Amino acid sequence: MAQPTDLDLYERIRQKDKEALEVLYDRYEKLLYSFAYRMMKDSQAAEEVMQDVFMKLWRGKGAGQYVSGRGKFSSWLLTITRNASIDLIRKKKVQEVEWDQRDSVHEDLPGVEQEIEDKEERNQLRRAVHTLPDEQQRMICLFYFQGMSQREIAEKCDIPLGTVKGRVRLALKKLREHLEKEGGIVYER
Amino acid sequence: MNDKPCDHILDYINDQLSDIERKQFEKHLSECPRCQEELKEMEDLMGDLPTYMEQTEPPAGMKQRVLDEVFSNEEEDTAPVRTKRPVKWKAWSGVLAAGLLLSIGMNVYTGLEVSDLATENEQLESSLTEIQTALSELEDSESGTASPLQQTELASAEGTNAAGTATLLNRETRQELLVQTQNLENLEPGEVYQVWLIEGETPEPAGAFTTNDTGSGGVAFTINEEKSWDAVAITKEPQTGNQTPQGEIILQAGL
Ligand SMILES: [Zn+2]
Repeated sequence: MAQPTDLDLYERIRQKDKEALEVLYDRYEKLLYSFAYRMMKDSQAAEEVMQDVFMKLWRGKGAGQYVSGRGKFSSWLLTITRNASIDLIRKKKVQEVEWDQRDSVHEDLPGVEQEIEDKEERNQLRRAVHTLPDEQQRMICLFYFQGMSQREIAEKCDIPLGTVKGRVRLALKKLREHLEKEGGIVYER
Repeated sequence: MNDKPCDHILDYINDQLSDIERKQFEKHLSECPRCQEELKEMEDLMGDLPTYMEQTEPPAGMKQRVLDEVFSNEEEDTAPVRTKRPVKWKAWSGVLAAGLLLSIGMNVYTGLEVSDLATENEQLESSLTEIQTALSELEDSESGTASPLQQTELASAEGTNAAGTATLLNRETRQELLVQTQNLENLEPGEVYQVWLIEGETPEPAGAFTTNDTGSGGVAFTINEEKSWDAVAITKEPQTGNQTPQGEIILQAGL
């Protein structure tokens, strides 16, 4: 018997089929958890993110609703995982506001560097990020890993609001080029 | 925060828009080929980045914990809750919907130029419905710390069919009150509708607004949390800036 596709499972989840959620969970646990862990740098917080993601998926409202025709299901799951992480980062940040305000330009870079450096040498993302100029590393850190708003990035980097989009895009593009040059482990299902 | 709808794309991707802003952007998206293309590009660029990251072994027992929590919350959800309705502004909280509710307020306010009566009323009604949806979603969602925002119907003075609502929202470090009204009498030039917050017997001026020619209007303002407000009221004042009310109360509600 063929494995149910992600979309089959999603449909069953919408019908409140607990088993379907469990199958989907098993399928994506490692990928999503690993990602949440990269974002949060903390296993407990990463578990909170997982909780949030599967809660949203089960409830199927608002952000927990997959709109077919807009990208792969796995990409969408990664997107809500990223958004749940960003959300939690922001909640946790509220308690650290004072530190945050004193952050100097270089104080947030270690976020990314440390996060990436802690990991083993083989980490492709780390190598790819490191090949980028500082400014691009920073865009990736602030936009992708910390999930900042356009305005926050503009303020933090002291650049015009209108240039943020272009810079983020360029940084992501360059990162992508490096990753593709090296060839990736493509997660397939 | 931005002038052009196209400028919202990064915040859309990073989920930094309120529900209403998000819906507005999605509507724009459906009409703007440039944004569609950019979004697709960004999604392609970011989509599978996590697959390039090193994998981490999930902690033991996480699956059980996560799924148990998901399914047990589900059971609670179906039970009729919502018994606890705090009375004082202070006790209310819920950070999420603040921006969203405010943006509805702004829509109502900027919608004032619309001259067609039916459209205007529909617009206000649908905004109010959206608020209610937002509120009930909020009530459904976050458990634990976030208790629901409160919305109060304003009572009208005798002989008028004025109507309105007051909605309290907690916006990070401050609280804001959103007041929306309809069926108010037209103002003479210079006159305003003034919102008062009342502590005991003492009214304090809060926001003021004017109406469009169908009598709809609204305003949102920050409120002082140090005080324990007992009521909110709206009067018609001959000019802005009155420190005590000259006009009769048209709409009011206890808080
Ligand atoms: Zn656009």
